[in-house]
This record gives sequence, structure tokens and C-alpha cells, in this order.
Amino acid sequence: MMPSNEGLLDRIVDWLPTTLGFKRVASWTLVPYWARRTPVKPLPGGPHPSFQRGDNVQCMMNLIMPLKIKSPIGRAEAALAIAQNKDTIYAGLNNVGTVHFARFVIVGDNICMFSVYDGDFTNYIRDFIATIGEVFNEVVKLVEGGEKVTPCEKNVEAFIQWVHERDLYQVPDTATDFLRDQEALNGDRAVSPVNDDLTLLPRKLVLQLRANANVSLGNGYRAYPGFSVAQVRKQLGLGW
Amino acid sequence: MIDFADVQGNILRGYRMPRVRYLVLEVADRLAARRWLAASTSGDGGGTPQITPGHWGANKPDTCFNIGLTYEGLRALGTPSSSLAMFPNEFIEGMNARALKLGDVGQSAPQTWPAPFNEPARIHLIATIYATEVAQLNYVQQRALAGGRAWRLLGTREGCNFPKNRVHFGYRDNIMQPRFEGVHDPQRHADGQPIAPLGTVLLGHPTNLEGLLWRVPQPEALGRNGTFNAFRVLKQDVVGFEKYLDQAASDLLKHPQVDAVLPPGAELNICQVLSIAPPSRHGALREIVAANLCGRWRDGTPLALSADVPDPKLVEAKFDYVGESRCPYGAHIRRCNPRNGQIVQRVANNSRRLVRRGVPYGPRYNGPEPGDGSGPEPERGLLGNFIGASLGAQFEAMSCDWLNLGLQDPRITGSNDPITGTNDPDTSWFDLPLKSGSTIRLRGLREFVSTRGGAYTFLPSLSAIRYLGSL
Repeated sequence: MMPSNEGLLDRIVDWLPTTLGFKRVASWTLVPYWARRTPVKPLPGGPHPSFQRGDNVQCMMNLIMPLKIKSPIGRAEAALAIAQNKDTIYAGLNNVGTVHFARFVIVGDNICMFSVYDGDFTNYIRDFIATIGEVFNEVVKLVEGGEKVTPCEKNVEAFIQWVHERDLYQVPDTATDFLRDQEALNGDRAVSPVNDDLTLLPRKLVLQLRANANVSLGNGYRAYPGFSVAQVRKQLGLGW
Repeated sequence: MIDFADVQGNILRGYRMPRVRYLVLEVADRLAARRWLAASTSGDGGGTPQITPGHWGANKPDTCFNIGLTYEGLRALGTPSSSLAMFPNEFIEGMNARALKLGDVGQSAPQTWPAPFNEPARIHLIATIYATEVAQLNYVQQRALAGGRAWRLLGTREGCNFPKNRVHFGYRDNIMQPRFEGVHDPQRHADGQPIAPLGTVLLGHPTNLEGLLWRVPQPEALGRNGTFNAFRVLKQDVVGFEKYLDQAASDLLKHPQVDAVLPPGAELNICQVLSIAPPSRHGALREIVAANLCGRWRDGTPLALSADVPDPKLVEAKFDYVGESRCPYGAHIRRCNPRNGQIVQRVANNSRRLVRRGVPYGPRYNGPEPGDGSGPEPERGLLGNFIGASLGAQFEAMSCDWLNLGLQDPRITGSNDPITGTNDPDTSWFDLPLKSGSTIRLRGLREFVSTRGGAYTFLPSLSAIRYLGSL
């Protein structure tokens, strides 16, 4: 270990940010100040665009949709909407053909849809609209802003965009890659040698997680290489 | 009911003129450009070339003239922001930004595209002139740019058809196109595919996906009866393609199952039909590989109907991929349009069809040049237009999931289109089917087609051109 030349003041400066009190004060004052000085745009959701075949199967969608009625009644309505359409959802999964699984989850006053699918996101959602658009309509009408994009069959482009905007940003597995995403969104202005030391708690990451409060950490971890739904079904003799 | 006079020509029916020139233009003066647009639909017959509509009556014009506008072009003309916001994302972002979806990576990446496609924000309008003679192209171009105030010419691209609808790589092209409800085209025959609803190619009409409607940019005069075009400059490595056929045929000759691919003596028939002299097993195997990569023999015979030998009588015959078709799952034409064959995305059958208008550019390849072959090959390829009412649901969906991922069939998932795909010789593969149902895997496919430019354009109706001219 290298001998330390830090004086008392250095040690205080290093220690202070680890204290709960400092973190609270920083959250209330420092972070809003930074955000005002350095506006950060929310990063787009969904998988990172890639031409690698393995990146284009078993993709993750993490959709969080705030309910209009934020109460047990609102949550019960959402639960009923899913339950009443269960058979249609199964039929839709079968006909769309590119979905590994889909889950509906209620977290707080949000209804969430988490799914794993193959191929391009817009094709996936468009095929779903064509197959079980009426279920989307039933669910989305319970969600804040949903009335602007329903019926989804008549608002295809707007609905896909609406879903995309609610899909969580997938923080890359390699921490520095989120800086690349910021650069892609903001251009070269996002590149700065300042505050990029990712061994510390960097300002850019704090501000990004202020803009994207809910994120997916990584894009899912697989225990085996990616295969499409149809490859799995064919291999198991299930028909596809 | 379709108003042909409101739809630009070459969309619902092709012109079939031998020469084409594309003028890539930037707005030099907004007001002058608007006046130019208004004049192009004025019908006065003089000055600015007149936009050719979808219906020209009894007398087909000697030259045809049409336009497509990019999103930047619509902006440059001063289209209201409320209207601009109604265009689909893929069009707003432009072709360059969609490179990963389209497989435009490596040598096809937009960063490598030559001028004028290296500055996509400056490309505002692409005007297309069709004619029989170069002098006619020159005359219309000179009229289009007369005065020099409205537009700045950034570049041109020019193509010329080969006899008998042949294209580079030697295939016969332009055999099948979608046929539309209410559109009589004497040169299109019933091909066994369902008649396409007008919404396949025009905004404001029912689409192939039941109940789904694409958004029509407002006002109605701007969006309705318009459509979108993916204009692509596609360089074709003809020498590389022919070398690959040589190599694949040589490999097959050494393969233990070669007689299952080409029974002894069968080469005589193939070589005779395709005029290959002198007949040889190697020459016939080259053609078998070429046929399987495409899904048609180079004379146009579909493998789905005649997999063992080409038969010119079957070129325009009806066929489908239902049942045990001998057309490879990964063949180019089957990937682009699986017809009613089984695919993973069951709702997508017949929903991603496109109108294709392509003309070759560059000199025709006539075999290896005399000499040591060390000189540079001239660039040759295809100036392609892929037209559909939704770039996202048709052109991009086909390019992304079908051509370059093979998601539609688990037997080809993970492979790219053997002819147009972004192939790497180290990882590429293609399964050549045998009568027995087994396959021989071919490897080492290269990127035979690379993108050298392009743009997403909106092909406005004549009403829309008048609207833009009146802004």
C-alpha cells in the first residue's frame, strides 16, 4: 500500500460525502443546483442499438406506467383489466411469435409490463397492436396520458413512441458506457474530462439518474447465449 | 377510390423507361423553391418541368419527372411545425440515423458515403427524371435548374436499364410487384399473391394489417395520397460475387453429396437453358448456387416451382412457399417476401411488401477483363427505390428483422441475406437444401452489396406539392 500523505483536512473532505447528513443536504441543495447549471436530458429506453445478432434476440422491455387513480381502487382496476384479458394475452403471445415471456406487475401506483422479446422494438409493439390492440387499449386507458394514444390501432406511431418513452433506460454493464450514451444524445458537449472519475460517485451519473429516476441496471443477464423464441420452440419440438 | 391524377407517377405503376437521373438538391431560396413547386404542378407545360401524375391518359409522355422531399427539405420550405411533428420518427431522423437497423455498418456505414450523401442535412429534394435518351435527361435537368435561384445542385446519380430486365449479378429483375386494389396495370400479371390494399403504398388508405392506420400528416392535402421512399445507392461487387460462385461450385464438386445437388448428366440441361458453353458440372453448380442464394434462377425461374432446372415458361407463374417448397428459407426473395409461407411473426405475412423501382448504374460486367486484373473495377450497382406507406413497418421491418437477422424462421435466424446482407466471410452461412430434406451449409459469403448513399424521402401527392408551393 502506498503511504498516505493526506492531512486531516483531506481526510475530512473524503469522509464528508460518505455521511448520511451530507448526502441528504446534497440531495436537497447541491443536486438541484447542479441540475440547473447542467441540464441533463433523459436517456432513451430500451436496448442499445446494435448490429450484433446476439444483441437482437431476448431483448428486455421494462415498461413503467403510472396509474391515473393512485389508490387501491386504481390498482384493483389494473389487476382486473389484466385478469379479464388473460386468454387474449396468451393468444397474442402465440401469434406475435417473438415474445419469450411477459409479466404484468403492480409496483406502488404503477402498472409495469416486463417482457423479453426478439428483434426490433417497434416491430414487436406494432405486431402486438395488430394482434391484441384491444388489450393495450384496456390497460392504457387506466394510465396517465394513455387517452392520447388510444385506440392504439388508430395511433400506431404515437402509441409506439409513447411505449418507448416509458421503457426504462438500460444502464450499460460497463459503467463508462453511459457517458457514451450521453454523448450520443447531446453531441460532443457531453464529453468532458471533469467529474468522469467513475471510481467516485460522479456528478454525471447522479444527474443522469435524476433525469432517469427508474432505470434497468444492465440489459439482463443470460445464463446461456441468446436464442429466438422460435429457435427454442423448434429445438424442443413445440412447433413455432 | 383512388384519384390517379393526385398521386405521383411511378408509384402505383412503373414507367419502364430505360434511363433515369437523380438530381440531389438543396433549397437555395425558400420563396423561389416554393414558386418552383407551384409551377411544377401548374400544367402550363413550359418552364419548370411538370410533375408526372399516376395517370397520363392516352399519350405516355416522352420524359417523366417526379420529386421526393426529405424531412430537412420540408423544414427548409417552411412547413408548419405542427405538420412536421406528424411525420413518422424514422423519416424525421433520416436514413443515416437508422444505419444500424438497415445494416449500414462497416463499408456501408453512412460515415463512408461519398458526396452528396455525406451531408444529409443539406439534401432537401431528390428530383427524378426518366427518359429514353441522355439528351432528354439533360434537357429536363436544364429546365429544372433554370434560373438557378430555387435550388442548389449537390450531386447527381444516373442509371440505365440493361436489356431484358437484367441487373448486375445477372439476374432477371422486376418480375413481381404488388398489385393494388383498383389499379389496372396491363404489364402486371396475377402472381398468386393477394391484391394489396392501397394503404400498402399510399397514406390515408386501409393497410394490410387489419384495422391499423398509419398517421397522415395534416393538413389532409399534405399527407393523403403521399408515400415514403427509401432511396438507396447500392454498390454491387459483381467480380466478388462471381468469384464466390466459382469457389462455392468448386467446393461442392468436392462435397460427398454433390450428386444430390446435381445428378450426373443434369448439367447438360441447366447449361443448355442458360446458354452456358461449354457445358460443365462446375458451370451448372455455379448456377445452382446463384439460384439458391436468390430463390430464382438467373433467368427468373422461381426455385419454388422448378428447383432442378430453369424453365423460362415458369418465370411469371404463380407460386407460394406453403408445404414443402424447394426454395431455401434463406433465399433473398423469400426473405424479402415470405408470401403465405410459415413465418414466426404470423401477422406479418404480406404486410411488409414494398414497391421496388430500381435501375442499374455503372457498366455491365462482361467477365474478367483481359490483362492481369490489377486495375480498379468500375463502380456498378443499383439505384433503388423502396416505396411504402410506412418506412418503419415495411422497409425497416424487412431490413432489420428479416434480411439481417433472419428472425422469421428459426432455421435461418442468425444469418444474413446471402446477396444483400452485411455478411462477414468468417461467420456467414447459407443452407442449400437437398431433395432429401437435408442441407449443405455454404460459408464464406461476403458483403456483395454495400450502401454508398441514400435518403428517406416523402413522395407528396400533387395536392401536397401545390400546398407546399402555396406556403
